[in-house]
Amino acid sequence: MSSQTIALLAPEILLVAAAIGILLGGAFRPAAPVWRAAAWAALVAAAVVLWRQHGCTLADGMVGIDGLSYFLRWLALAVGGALLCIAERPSPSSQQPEYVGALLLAIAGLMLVVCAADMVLLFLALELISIPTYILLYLGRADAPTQEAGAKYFFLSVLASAMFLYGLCFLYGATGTTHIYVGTESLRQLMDAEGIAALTAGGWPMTLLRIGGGLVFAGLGLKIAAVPFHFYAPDVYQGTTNTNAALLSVVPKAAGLLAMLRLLSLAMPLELVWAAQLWRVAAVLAILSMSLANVLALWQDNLRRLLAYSSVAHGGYMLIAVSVAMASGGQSDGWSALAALLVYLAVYAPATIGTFSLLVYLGRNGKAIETIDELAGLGRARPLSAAMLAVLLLSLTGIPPLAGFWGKLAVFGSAVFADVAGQAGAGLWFRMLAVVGVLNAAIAAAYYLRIIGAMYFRAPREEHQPQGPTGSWVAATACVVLVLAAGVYPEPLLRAARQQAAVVHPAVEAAKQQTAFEETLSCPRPRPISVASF
Amino acid sequence: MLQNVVALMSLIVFLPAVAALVLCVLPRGRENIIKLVAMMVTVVVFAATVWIAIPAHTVQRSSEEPGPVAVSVSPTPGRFELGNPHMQNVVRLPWIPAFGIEYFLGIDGISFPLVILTSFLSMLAMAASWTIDRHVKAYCVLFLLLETGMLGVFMALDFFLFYVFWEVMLLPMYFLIGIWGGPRREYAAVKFFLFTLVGGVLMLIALLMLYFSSDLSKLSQQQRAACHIDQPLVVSLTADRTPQPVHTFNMLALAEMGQMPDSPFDRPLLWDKSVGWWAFVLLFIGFIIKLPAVPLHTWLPDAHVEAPTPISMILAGVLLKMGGYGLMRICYPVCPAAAYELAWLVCAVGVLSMVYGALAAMAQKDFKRLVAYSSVSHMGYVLLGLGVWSATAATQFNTTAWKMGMSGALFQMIAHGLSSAGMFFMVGVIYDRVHHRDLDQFGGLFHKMPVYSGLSVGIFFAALGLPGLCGFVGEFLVVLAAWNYHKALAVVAASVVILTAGYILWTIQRVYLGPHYKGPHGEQLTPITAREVAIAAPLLALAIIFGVYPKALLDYMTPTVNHTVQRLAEWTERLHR
Repeated sequence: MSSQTIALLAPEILLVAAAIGILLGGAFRPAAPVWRAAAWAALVAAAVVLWRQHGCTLADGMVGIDGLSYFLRWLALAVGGALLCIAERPSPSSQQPEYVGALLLAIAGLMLVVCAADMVLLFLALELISIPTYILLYLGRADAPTQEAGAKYFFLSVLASAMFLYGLCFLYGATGTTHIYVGTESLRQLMDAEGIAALTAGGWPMTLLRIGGGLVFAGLGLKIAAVPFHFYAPDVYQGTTNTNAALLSVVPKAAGLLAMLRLLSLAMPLELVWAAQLWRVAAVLAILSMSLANVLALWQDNLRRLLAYSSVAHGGYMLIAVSVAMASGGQSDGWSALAALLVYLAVYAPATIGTFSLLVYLGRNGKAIETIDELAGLGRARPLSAAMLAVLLLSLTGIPPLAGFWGKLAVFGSAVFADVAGQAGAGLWFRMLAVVGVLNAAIAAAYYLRIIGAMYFRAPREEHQPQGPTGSWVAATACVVLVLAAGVYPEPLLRAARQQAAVVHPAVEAAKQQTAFEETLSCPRPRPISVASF
Repeated sequence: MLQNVVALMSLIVFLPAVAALVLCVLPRGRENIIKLVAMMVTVVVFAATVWIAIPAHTVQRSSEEPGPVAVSVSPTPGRFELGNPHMQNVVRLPWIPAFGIEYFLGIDGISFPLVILTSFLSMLAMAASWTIDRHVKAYCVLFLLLETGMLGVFMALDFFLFYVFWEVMLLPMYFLIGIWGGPRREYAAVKFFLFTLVGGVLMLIALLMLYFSSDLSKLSQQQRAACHIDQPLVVSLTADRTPQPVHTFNMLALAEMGQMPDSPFDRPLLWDKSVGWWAFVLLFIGFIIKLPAVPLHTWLPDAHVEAPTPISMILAGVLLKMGGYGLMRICYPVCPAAAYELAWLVCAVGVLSMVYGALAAMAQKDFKRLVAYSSVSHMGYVLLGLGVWSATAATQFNTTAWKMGMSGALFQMIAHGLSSAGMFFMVGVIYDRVHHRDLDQFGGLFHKMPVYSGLSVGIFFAALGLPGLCGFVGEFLVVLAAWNYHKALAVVAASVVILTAGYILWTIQRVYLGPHYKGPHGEQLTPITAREVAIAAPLLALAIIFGVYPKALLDYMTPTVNHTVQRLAEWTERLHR
C-alpha cells in the first residue's frame, strides 16, 4: 500500500469519510438540511478527483485499477447522484442523514468492488454495498410489507454472502493465495510447466476451481438476482420504495457482474476457463434469467413487481456478455464482450433509474404509483411525463434509436462475433444465446407496451396531480436526455466503453503478453506503479 | 453538385421528421394549421420525388452492337437516369464508426418506384386524414415520423440503417393504430407491434451473422468501387500476422460477396447449413411477416380492421411492400445459394397465400377484413414472381421468364399499393357515413352515391386484375413466369384470379348494386365530397394509366431488375459448371 494507491482511491475515501461524518453528525442534528448538501459535495469532490485519474492504472497489493474500474466508477458516481436526487424523504424526516449516509456507503462499496484485486477486499466491498442496503430498505417505509422486504433481503443477502465466501475459500484452496491475480498466475505457471493435464488429472485444483466457481456463481447470482436465485426480487421490490428499488436494480447487479468477471475470467488463463467450463454456467444462468423473467413479467400488474422481473431479465442479457467474455478472454475489438457489458450497464442504468424516479414523481398524496392501472390515461393527463416514461420503457425494450438498443446490439453482437475457435461447441452456444436473447427482447416488448398502452390508449381514471419531489423530476429528465442522446449518437459511449474495456488489469496484460497494450493505454502522467508489489 | 444530392436525398427522408419536431412545439388548438403544415410537407416530399423521376436522359447500355450511344450532354445530378441499372443519387457519410455503420442512401430501379409510391400515398393518406378530429397534433407528428421511417427503409443501402428505419417505423404505427383505431385497437396495435418486432429481431441476428462473415478485402478494387467504397481499405493484422477481415454493413458489398465464387457466406454454420442459408431463412421469416404471407399473416386483418382509414391505406399501400422489397434487395442478392435451394419454399408460400387469402376474403362479413385478406392474396403473387428461379441448367440459364417474374412482382407491389390504398379509402368513405362495415347491410349505393360507386368499382376492378387496369399486368407477368418454372403453380396462380373475381364481384354486388340500402343510417348516405374525389381519382387514374401503358412504370424498373436477374443467373451458371 503506497501513497499512490491512497491517492487513486481518494474518491472512495472521500465518500466513506463523508458518509461517516454525515451519520455521526446526524445523530446530533437529525433535521439539518446540511446533510444532503454535504453528500452532494462529497459526490462532486469524488468526481473531480476521479476526473484527474483518467487513463491511470494500478496494480498494488489488494487494489487493482484498470479501464473497467474507471468506467464503472464513473457509472457508480452518476448512479449515486441520480439516487440522491430522487431520494424520497423517509417518513420521519429525521432519518435523512442515515438515509444519505447509507447511500454514499453503498456507492463507495460499488466503486471499491470494481477496484478490488484481492478476494478479501472484494468480499468486504460487496458487504459495503449490502449492509447499507439493509438500512436503506428499513428506512424506506414503516409498514409491514417494508419490514417483510427488508427481512427477506437481509436473510437472503447474508446467505449469498456466506455462499460467496465459501466459494472464495475453495478458490483460495486452488491457488494458495487470496490475491486474485497472483493466484491465477501460479496456476498459469503450473499449467505452462506441466500442461493443462497437471490441473485436471490429479483433480485437486480443477475440482476446487469448479466447486468454488459454482459457489461464487450462486452467491453472486443472488446479488444480481439471476434465475434461479431471483425469487426474492419481486417481493422485495414490491415491498420497498421506488428509490430503493432503483438502487437494488443497478448497484448490486453491477457489482455482482463485475465480481464474477474478475474472479472467474479476467484473471484466469483462458485454457483454464475452458477446462472448467465456467462460461457454460453463466450462459445457462443467462438463458434462464431472460426467458423466465420475461415470461413471468407478462402477468404482473404491480409496476414494481413487473420492473423487478424486468431487471432480472436485463441481468440475463448482461450475463450473455459475461459468458462470452469468459469464453473468449475479452477481445479488444469494437465488439468485445467486456465493452458490451459496459455499454449495457451504462444504458440500462439511466433507463431503469429514470423509470423509478418518474414513478416517484407521479405518486399522489404521499403514495407511490403501484399498479399499471394507476397510469391509465397518463398520456392525456400528463403528456410530458407520459412521453418521458414511454421513452425510458422503449429504451428498456431496445427499440432503435434509443440508448437501450445499442446496449442490446453490443451484447448480441459480441455473442455472434465471439471468437471461441479453441472451444468446441462454444460458437453454437453463443449464437443460440443471441437468438434466445433477441426473442426475449421481443417478448419483453409485450409487457413494456402494456404500460405504454395503458398510458395512451385508456381513459384517465382520476386527476393526476404529481406531488413527488422535484428532485425526482430532475433525475428523470436527466435520464431521458441521456437515453435520447446516447440513442441518436452512441459513438462517444461506444468508443469510451471500448477504450476502457481494452485496458484490463496490467497484471493480466503482462501475463497475456499482448503487445497492443502500450498503444491502447494513454496515461497523461508517467505510469504509476504498475509492477505489482506482490 | 454532390452536396445537392446529399441535400435532396436527406430532404426526402428527414423533412417529415424535422417537420414533426416543429409541429411538436406548435401550440394546440390550431388544428387546421397543423393539418395544413403536415399536408404541405407530404406535398413537398412528393414533389421532390417527382422531380427526381422526370427523366434526365437515356443511356442505352443494353445495346450489344457497337455504335453511337445516346447520351445527353448535360445530365442534371439528382435526376433519375433511365436505363441505368445501378445505384443512383448515392449518399455515403459515416454515422457510427465504432460499429462501421454508415449513413448510406441511394435509389435504383427497384427502390425508386417504391419511394415515389410512398411519397404519393403519404400525401393522399394525409389528405384522407382531414376527418381525424382527436389529438390532431399528435396524429400529424406520428404520421410524419412514419413517413420518414418508410422512405428511409426504401432508400437505405446500409443494412444497419435499413434495420433502424424498419424499427423506427414501428412505433408511430403502433400509436396510430392504438390511439385512433377502432374498438379492439389496443389488441391490434400490440399484435402488429409484436409480430413485426419478432421479424425485426430475426433480421437483426441475420444482419449480425452476415456482418461478421463479411470481408471487404475479398472484393477487388473494382468491385469495391461499384459498391461506392472509394477510400483505400485499411487491413489490420492480428498477432500472428494474418490479415483481419474487414466487416461491412454495405448492402451492395454484401451482395457482391454473396454472389462471388467461394463466398464468405458459404462457410458452414450449423447442421451442415451455411451462414448464407441461415441468414436467408431468418430474413425470409422476418420479411414474410411483413409481407404478409400465410401462416404469419394473422396480425394483418386485426391491424387493418382497427386502424383508421388513412393508416390502413399506408399499411396496405406501403408497409406490406417492405417485405417484398427486403426479399428483393437483401435476401436474393446476398444469399443466392439459399434462395436457389429454397425457391420451392418461396413459391409454395406464395401460392398458399394467394389461395388462402382469396378463400378467406370470400368468407368475410366485414368489408375491411375482406380487403385485408385480399391483400394477403395479392402479395402472394409477389412471392411467386420472385421465387420462380427459372434460370436453371434445364433452361440453359435462360433468364427471360425470371426477369418477367421479378418485374411482375415489383409491378404487382406498385399496382397493389395503388389499388389496396384505394379500396381501403373507399371502405373508409362509406364507413364515415354509416358507421358500419357489415357487407350484408349495404346495397343500392349506386343510386345514392353514383360518383363514389363509379370510382370504387373502378378501383375494385383494378384489384381484380381486369385487363387494361394495373392489377392485370403484374399478375399476368407472374403467371407467365410461373408457367416456365412449374406448370402446376401457374395453373393454381391463374385459378386464383377466378377466386379473386368471385369475391370482388360478389362484394360489388352486395355493396353497390341491388335495389336499396339495407343497413342503418341510410339518411346519411350523402354524395362523395370534392376532397374525397381528389383522393380517389388520382388512384384510379394511375391504375388505368399503368394498366394501359405499363411501360411508363416498367421503364424505371426493368434495367435494375434485369441486371439483378442476370447477375443471379450468372451465379447459377457458375454453380452448375
